[in-house]
Parts: sequence; C-alpha cells; structure tokens
Amino acid sequence: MSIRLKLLLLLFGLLVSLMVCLQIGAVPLSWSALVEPKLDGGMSQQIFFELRLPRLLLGVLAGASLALCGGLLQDLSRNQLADPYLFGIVAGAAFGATIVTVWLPNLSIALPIAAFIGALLAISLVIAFVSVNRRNQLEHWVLAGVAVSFLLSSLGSAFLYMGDAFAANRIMFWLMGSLARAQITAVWVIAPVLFMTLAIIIFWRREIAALHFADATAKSLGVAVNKVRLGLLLCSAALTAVVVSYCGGIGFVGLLVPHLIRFWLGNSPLPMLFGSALAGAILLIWVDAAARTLLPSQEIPLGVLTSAIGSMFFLLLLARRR
Amino acid sequence: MKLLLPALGRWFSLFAVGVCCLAQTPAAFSKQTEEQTAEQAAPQTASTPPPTRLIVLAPNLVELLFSIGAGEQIIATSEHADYPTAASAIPRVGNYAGLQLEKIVALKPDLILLWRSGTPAADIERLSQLGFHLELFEPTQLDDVASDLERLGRISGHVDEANQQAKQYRQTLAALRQQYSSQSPVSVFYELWDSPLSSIGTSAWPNQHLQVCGAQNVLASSTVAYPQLSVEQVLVLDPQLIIQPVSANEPRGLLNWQQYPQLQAVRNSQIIRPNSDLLHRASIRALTATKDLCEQVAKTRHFYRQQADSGEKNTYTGKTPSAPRN
Repeated sequence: MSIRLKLLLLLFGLLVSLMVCLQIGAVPLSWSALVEPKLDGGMSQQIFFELRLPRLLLGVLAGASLALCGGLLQDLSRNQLADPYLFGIVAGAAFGATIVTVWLPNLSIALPIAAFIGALLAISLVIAFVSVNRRNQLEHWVLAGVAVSFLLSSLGSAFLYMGDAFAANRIMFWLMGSLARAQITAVWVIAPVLFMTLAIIIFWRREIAALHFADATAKSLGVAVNKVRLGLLLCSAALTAVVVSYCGGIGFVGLLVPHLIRFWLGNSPLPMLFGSALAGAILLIWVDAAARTLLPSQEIPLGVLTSAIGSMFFLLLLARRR
Repeated sequence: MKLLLPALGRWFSLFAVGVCCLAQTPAAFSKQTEEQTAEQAAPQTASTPPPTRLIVLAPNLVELLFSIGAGEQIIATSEHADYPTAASAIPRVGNYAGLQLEKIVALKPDLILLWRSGTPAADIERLSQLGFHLELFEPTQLDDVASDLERLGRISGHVDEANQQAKQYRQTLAALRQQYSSQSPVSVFYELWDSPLSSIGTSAWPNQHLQVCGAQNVLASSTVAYPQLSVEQVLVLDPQLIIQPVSANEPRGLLNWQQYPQLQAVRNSQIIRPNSDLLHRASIRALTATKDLCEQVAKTRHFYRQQADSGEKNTYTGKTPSAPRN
C-alpha cells in the first residue's frame, strides 16, 4: 500500500469515526427529533449542537494537536521519548490553573487563560535558561524543561496546600484531562494555532527532514538549524499550551501515536506528521466516546483512559519490535 | 515527497474547510440560551407554582430537601447522596469531578441546586449557558444549615415545614452552645487522616463542632484549613483528647496512638471516634453528631477536673497546650 493510500485511509477513518461518535452519548438521540425540534421541545438539538458537536470537534483538534506536537518534538530533539509535555508545559499550565482555582474559584473563564499563561511561563523559563547560558544544544533544552517542570509543579503543590481541600480536588481532576466542558470558543482558539503549525510544517518540510541528521550535517545542507528548531519548538509549545488550557493534561497521545504511525508510514516527516495528526484525532474521539459511556452515571477522566490504553499499546509495540 | 505534497495540501484545505463549516453550525442552529448568571436566577415567588423537577447536585442538599418533605421533587442527584435511604434510588448525573451534561439536558429540570465549592466552576457556567435556572448553596457555618433550610423551603414550596425545621435547628444549636461553648476548654487533636497525618485548622468545617463543644483545637493557629503534621508535633502539643472521626461508608486508617504513652490523652484513654458521616456534612443530622461530641468532650473535661481535684501530678491548669514531658 502506498503512503498516499494509507493517509487517505486515515482520513476516511476519521470521517467514519466522526459520524459514529456523534451518535454515542449518555442520551440516545433520535434523528427525527434533530430535524424536527418540535418533537421533543428542542432537547435533541440542544444536546447535539451545544454539547456533543463542540465536544467532538474539540476532541479532533486536541487529539490531532497533541499527536502532531509529539511527532514534531521527537523529530526536533531526535529523542524517542519526547512528548508535547517535554518543556514543562503541563506543569506550567497546572501552576496557572492552581493559582486561579485557589484565588478565583468561581471565575471559570479565568482558568484556561491562567493555564495558558502558566504554560507560556514554563516555555519562557526554558528559553531564557538556554539563551542566557548560550547552550543551544538539544540536551540543554530537554534538561531545562525537566527542571522547569519540577519547579512549577512544586510551586503549584505549595499553592494547593495553602488553599482549600476542594481546590486540590478540582485541580487533580482537571489534570486528568476532559473534553466535558467543551465550548465552541475552545475550537475557535485551537483550530487556527493547529492550522498555522501545519502550514509551517509544510513550509519547512525539507528542513525537518534534514534535522533527522546531526546538526552539523543539517547545517552543511544549508539548513538554519537553530532558527528552524526554535520556530518549530515555539509552534508546538503554543499548540500544546492552548490544548492543555482547555482540556487539561491528556497523557500519552503525543507519545504513542507518532510511534504507531512511524511504524506504519515510515519516518518521512510530512506523512508521519499528518498521519499522526489524523490518527491522534481518531484515537481521542473514540477514547472520549468510551469516557462518556462506559460508566452509567459518570464520566471517566480522559487522561486515565489514554494513559492506560497508551501504555499497554506501547509495551506491545516494543515487544513486537524486538 | 514532491508528489505527495499537493495531495496533502488539498486534504489539508478540505479538512480546514470542513472543520470551519462544522464549527459554525452550532452557533447558527443552537437556540438562543438565556443570558442568565447564577446570581440572577429568579427566586420563586408566591405567585408562581413551585418547581416540581429538581436536580440536586450535593448530598447535603438532598438530605435537607427530604427532611422538609420535598424529596419527591428530586429527579436526579450526584454520587454520594446516600441519606435517607430513599435518596439512594434517585438517578445519578455525575459527581464532584464532573457532570453528565447530556443527561441533565434530557431530564429537563425546572431548577438545578448546586453546592458551589463541590462543583467545578466550568460546569456551573456551562449549565447556566445551557439556559438552566440555578440555585447555588455554600454553607460555611453551622448556622447556615438553618438559612439553607428556609431557602430550600421557598424554592420547593414547603415553606412551613422548612421554617419549622430551621427554627428547631437553631434552638438545638443555641442550646448546645449555651450548655457547652463557655465551659473550660479541653485541648483536642482532630486526626482527620492518618497517612499523611492531617488535621484541621480553624477555617475547616469540623472545627465548628469543636467550638460549640468548648474544645480547643491544638492547631488553632494554623493558617491552612487542613494542615499536615508529624507525630512529633502532636507530642509537643500534648492534647488532652484525641478525636479520630470514622465513617461507616468509607474505611480509613487510624493512627495507633498507643505507641506514644507519653501523651496524656493516651495515658488517660482519652481517644474518641465520632461518626464523620455526620460531622462532615452540612445537614440537620450534624447537630446529633455535635451533641454526641459535646457529651464526650464533657466527659473528658470532667475526667481532667477530677484528676486535678484529687491533686495528682498532672495538674490541669486550663491552659493549652501544656509543655511536653519526658
């Protein structure tokens, strides 16, 4: 099967998944009532357009974004274990979310904004560290990310300890990730960042391919290694930050999906990245469908499911590779 | 790569167009939801009939509604609403981590009652965006139970029962306060959890029971509501009474204080295990628990007074905390 066909297959899979998952939910919807709202007083329409559709779209965008960022960062850092949360973005977002949850618990609009600012803070700290020390090597980026991640986590924990017990509860569940509070505004914020990142990836496709080699080799091919890397890092950081701000920490999608896709589509950057985005979207909307229907009277946090499924798949994949 | 790119570009633009179209539909199709914030939710007046379909998203509110005879009006609730027994049969639509919004829409409630701290703010906002009438409750004091009862009476149309219950509650609380709160203080350590060892500060809900009973929390100076501490600190504080609240529904570990006989509470067997299901929930039953607690604290007070009277070595001065002994 050619790569083109495989990508087409993924796209088709996404469309089918969208159609199927739109019909899965806590409440069975009747299509006749959807077309003719008088039948049930507009209930089906309200559930469909105000709850299920925004949630599904957010799932598509979040899944695609996380998988894309994961694949991109794995390429940029030449590190198989890279994932979108590499630079302390989740820790930063959680730190912002914690401050707001403790100080302004009733202002729901503030949470995504604070989470975004927190994520930006994490990235800025990493960039500041790397540029102040003029150590622009990859491992410094990664290690600075780990350190910043721990720093912000500890600050967040300190705030939680000072705050009330309910704040700790809320943050913990927020961190597990969810699409339940999906609003159409989240779609409007994430979509442009995702499409901009995709456009930049297409524009820099040759440079990304060159980065598979050592920096010196890439430079000899005429690639402005530092500029390209910084630009793409910023893109993926911004994309991850907006996703985390609205959906919390959805684990493992960004690590697992690119690996699966590399296995199937090969290492060539463009098909791998686009394939990852499509597969990430498919994975997340199915996991979300499971999250909202597996238990009869409650929802399972997304992160619980993605990490459980992800880690099992990952081990299976490793076993088969050997 | 060269062949692939135009194809990818085409899909990319198709995908983009598709998402944009889909994203516009909800705005175009969704019916205009009422611009109504939780605070503006219309209070029920005498002229309108009381709402008969209530979704009540807090166990204590469910309990209060049943106590004023409005339990029948609850069509759905959240996890942990387990009292009275009839409450267990009510369908569930979520828990403190999140709500099943689709189900709530499908149930078409007249009114949704929420506990503000126990519900994620984003869920509250989402519910009011969906056009529901919300009533938010936030009990922080024992006295709030009475005013919440009166408010629930107005909301559910059971005004007389509610006022009656509220009056009775206030009288019982006042009587308990009068009897116990000004008695000589007994220093207590409230072991909320054993691992990590956690207790309560003055702003925590259970501390109010202690105040009513004339018990002095040894961690009263804590700025944190639920401080964590080590056994060493408890040894220094040397409380006269150790309280280990236990729940009938949720098992917990208990710290074995017997290994620290240097504590006066251990030496004198002043360790009690009241029912946390009652102590930790803002309901009418909380006062039953308060009364029991006060009686037990009174026993401890009596014990130490007798000990002091009989002139034993450990003279109780009425001051807390006493210095550690070796």
